[in-house]
Order: sequence, then structure tokens, then C-alpha cells
Amino acid sequence: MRVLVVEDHIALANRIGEGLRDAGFAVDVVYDGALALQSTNETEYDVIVLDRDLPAVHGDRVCRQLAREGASARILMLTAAGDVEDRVEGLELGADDYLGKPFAFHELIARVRALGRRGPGSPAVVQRGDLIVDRARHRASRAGMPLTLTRKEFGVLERLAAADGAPVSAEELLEHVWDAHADPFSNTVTVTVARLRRKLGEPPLIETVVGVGYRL
Amino acid sequence: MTITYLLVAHSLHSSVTTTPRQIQQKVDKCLAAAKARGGIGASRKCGALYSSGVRAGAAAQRSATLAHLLVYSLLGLAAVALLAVVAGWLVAGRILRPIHRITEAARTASEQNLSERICLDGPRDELRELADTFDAMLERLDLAFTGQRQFIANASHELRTPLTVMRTSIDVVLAKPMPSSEELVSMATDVREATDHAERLIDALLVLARNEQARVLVEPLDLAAVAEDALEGRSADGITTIAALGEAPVTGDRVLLERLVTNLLDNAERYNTAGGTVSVSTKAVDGTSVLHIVNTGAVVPADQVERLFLPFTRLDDRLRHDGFGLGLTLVSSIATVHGGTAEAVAIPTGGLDVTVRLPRRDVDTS
Repeated sequence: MRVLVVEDHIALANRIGEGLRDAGFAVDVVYDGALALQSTNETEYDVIVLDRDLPAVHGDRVCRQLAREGASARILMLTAAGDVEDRVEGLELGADDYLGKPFAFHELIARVRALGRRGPGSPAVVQRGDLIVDRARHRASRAGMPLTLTRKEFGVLERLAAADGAPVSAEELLEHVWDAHADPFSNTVTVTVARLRRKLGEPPLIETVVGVGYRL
Repeated sequence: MTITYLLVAHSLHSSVTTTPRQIQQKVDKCLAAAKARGGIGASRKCGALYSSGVRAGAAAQRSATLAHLLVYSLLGLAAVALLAVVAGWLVAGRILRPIHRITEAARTASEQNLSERICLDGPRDELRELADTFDAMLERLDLAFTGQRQFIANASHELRTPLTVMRTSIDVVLAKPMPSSEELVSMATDVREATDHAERLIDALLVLARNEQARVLVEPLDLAAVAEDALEGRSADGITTIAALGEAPVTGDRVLLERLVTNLLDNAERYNTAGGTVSVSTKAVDGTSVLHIVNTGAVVPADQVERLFLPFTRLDDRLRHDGFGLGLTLVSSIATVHGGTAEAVAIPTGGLDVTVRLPRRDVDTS
């Protein structure tokens, strides 16, 4: 899952990025509203963690703009203003969720994950034969045996599972499982898929659809 | 009424004792005729009967008139009294109503509810003046309380930032399965910086609050000396500080005034450009001692200059700076407490020009 963190306090922004990466997300961090809008234009994010009080373009404006554009990304608003009026205002601006500062980090992770899961036909736990992918708890198992996957591998598996049998292109995988630092011309995706196949074992679950992508 | 009654009674009474002339003449004629015919007794009886008849009639009329007068007078009195009571009631009610409204307003006004106003209409009399004065007082209280609430809300909002940094750093690093010592050190550094930030913020808030209460230690000072103290030990990389400190005697609190100068210098350096300048000057002009600090830097939009003195507002590019927007608020507050003013003007080519004016102390020439 690809997340954009928009927060003007640099140390805090970096820390949130670090924490989310540890939790398995692909994270990009920007420090003002203008850069946020630029990034969302260039990349499709699953979730945007948006601070309200931002320089350049205010967080509220960013939110309204994204809502108007009908962006697919879910927005989690983060801010020090925590009372009911502020929460309601934030949600009315188009945010999908609202978390006041200071917050417990594992709550942020849970909420981001919950937001990233939303969309038609994407339940929390996906089952395919004897493969179980628990997107909420970030675990996967096959025939009852838990799979140890790296973050990227889990990300790919999750994306394929959520697609519910539809093929997922390598570009889409790159966009949603890797962050901006990934080199789009390398064969990272292929390599990761290969490793994932090996870990999933027999019978093979991932099918390559030539010219399109992969599917479960 | 009584007087009328007595006068009427008197006039009626007097009218009774005199029989009208004509009737007297007739009586005399009758008497004469009776005398010629019969005995003296008959004529006398005739005259007497007649006279007494007239007198009785007059008396009856008198008492009837007086009785009617009495009744009508009493009725009239009662009616007028009743009308007087009703009119009195209405007038008193109208006069007392504004007083009731003022009393009600005083009763309902509380810290939570200062928005009601009496808004009395009517003639511009003492009551209207009372109501208007009361309204003005409510207005001042409302503003003061709102300002205070705003301040507290802003302060707590600002304090959440360092708390969030601490919380997030700790959460993230401790969530790692095996944090390396570098990671732990980095977390600890974040926590320390955030703690510093919180401490300085609380410190500044306390100074601001204490300042508002105007408990100042007062002694004779010279702004030149205060500025010199503030400049001492400051090192601003890449920024040239020029000082032209002329005598500027004032009376005030040394600690607060030094804080004022320090905050202005902090601001001048923080919002400056690399290789820029800060010029500090003090002088005394007529009855005022003036402190003038000018810095080069980014262009400040003219409409934003006023906002700089408001608590917790900063210019847009906050990323580089670690002030919390209270610096100029404190400057303004300290200047006011000393009976002076602080003004800022944006320089068209960039930077800010701040002038603090305080009342000049008369220097004894002994």
C-alpha cells in the first residue's frame, strides 16, 4: 500500500514515514501542501496522511481539491485541533478519517491500513483455496502454515488478492507497493514476484498473463 | 373638594335666611288684605305660614343640594383617585421596567454568557445612560474573556506539537523488534529537542501571562545599556549587526526590557537572509525614548504585518524556523505595560522595521 505523508514539522514527518515503512507501507513524505498536490498528480496513492496546518497550501484546501478531483486516495486528516467541531469540519471537507495529535502510533497504522483496504470487493481477509491473506493483521498463511514474507512480497500478494482474480500489471504493483525511491526501470517487481512464487510453494498460485500482468 | 363643599354650603345657607323681595311684597299685600277683612291673627298666620313654607322649601332644597353635592363629590373623588392610582401604576411600571431589564441582564450575565445586551430605547435620560454604560461594560468583559479563551486554546494547541513529536518518536522506535543503539539515540534526541521546545513555549507563555498582570519592578534604566546587554554574547552567523546606541532613559523592568530587545534581535536574525544585516539604534527624541531595529530579509506582505503581533501567528515559511509566534506578541505586551508602543513596518525591498517607543524618563541634573 502506498502512502503519502504531508506534515510541515520535518522531524515528525520523517518519523511518521519511518514508522509506516516499518509497518510495511511504501511511503513518500512531503512538507507542504503545494508539494502534496504535485505528488498526488504524479502518483496514485492508497492513503494520504494529511496535516491540516500546512504552509504554501493549507491542508484544508488540499483536502477539498482532492475531494473535488475525485481522487481515489483515502485521506486521513491529522491535526492538533481535536475537538468535535474540528473533527466534523475535517470530515465535511472530504477527509475519510480524522486523528488528533498526539496519537498512539499503532492507532495511526491501524487506521491507515483500514482506509487502504476500502473499495468495492476488498475485504479484510481474502481466501484463495488454501491461501489466506489477512490484510488487517498483515499476515498470510497457506494450508495453515504461516508464510514469512518481506514487506514488498506481502504487498504484492495483498494487491493480487484484492484484485480478486483480475490481472494486476507490473506498473500498478510498482506504484502501490514501492515508494518514490524505487527505480522504475529495474526488474524489482519481477524479482519480488519470483521470490513470492517460491515462498508460496506448490501448487503455483500466481499466473503470468503475458502482456498484462500477474494474477492469482 | 371639602372647600368647595363648605363654600356651597355657606352660600346656600345665606340664601335661606333672605326671602326674595317679590315674595315679601306679596306677603305684605296679603297681610294688608287679611287685615282689612278679618282679624290680625289670620293675617299673621297667613304670613307666617307662607314664610315658613318658603323657608321649609328652601331648607329642603338646601339639604337636597348639599346631599347631592356630597355624593357627587365623593364619587368624583373616588373616580379621580382610581384614575390616579391606575395612571400612577402605569407610569411607575414604565420607569421601573428598564431597571428590571438591567437587573435581569446583570443576573444572566456570567462568564459563559456575555453576549446579551440591554439595548434600551427611549428618551436619553439617566436610565438610558445607565443601560448603555452597562452594555459597554458587558462588551469589554466579553472581549476580555474571549481573548483569554482564545489564548488558552492556542497555547494548548501549540503544546501538542512537541508532545506529538515525542510520542511518535518513542512509539516508532520502540515498535521495532530490535532497535539499534543509533535508533535509540535518535529517538532520545528527538525527545530532548521536543522537551526543550515545550519548555521554551511554557516559559514564554508564563512571561506573557505575568506581563498582562502588570507586576513590574520599576527602576531607572537606559535603553542603550539594555540593548548592549542583550547584544552581548550573541553570535549570528553570516549576519552583520550594526549598533548605534544613544542615550534613551526610561523607567521600567530590566528583565522584561531585556527580553523585549532579545526577542526583537531573535526575530531580526531568524527572518533574515544569509549575509544580511541587523541595525539596532536607541535615542531620545522630545519626550520619548526610541528603540529601532531594522533587519534585511524576505519581503513581508503589508497586510501581514499587523498579524505578526498576534499570538502564535508566524509568516508562512515556518519550516526553517523554530520560534512559536510569541516573540512579537511579548514585545508588544512589554511595551504596553511600560506605557509605550511597538510598531512594525514592512520594508518594500524586504525585511522588517520595528520601532519601540517608551516614555522618556526625566534625568535629574544634579
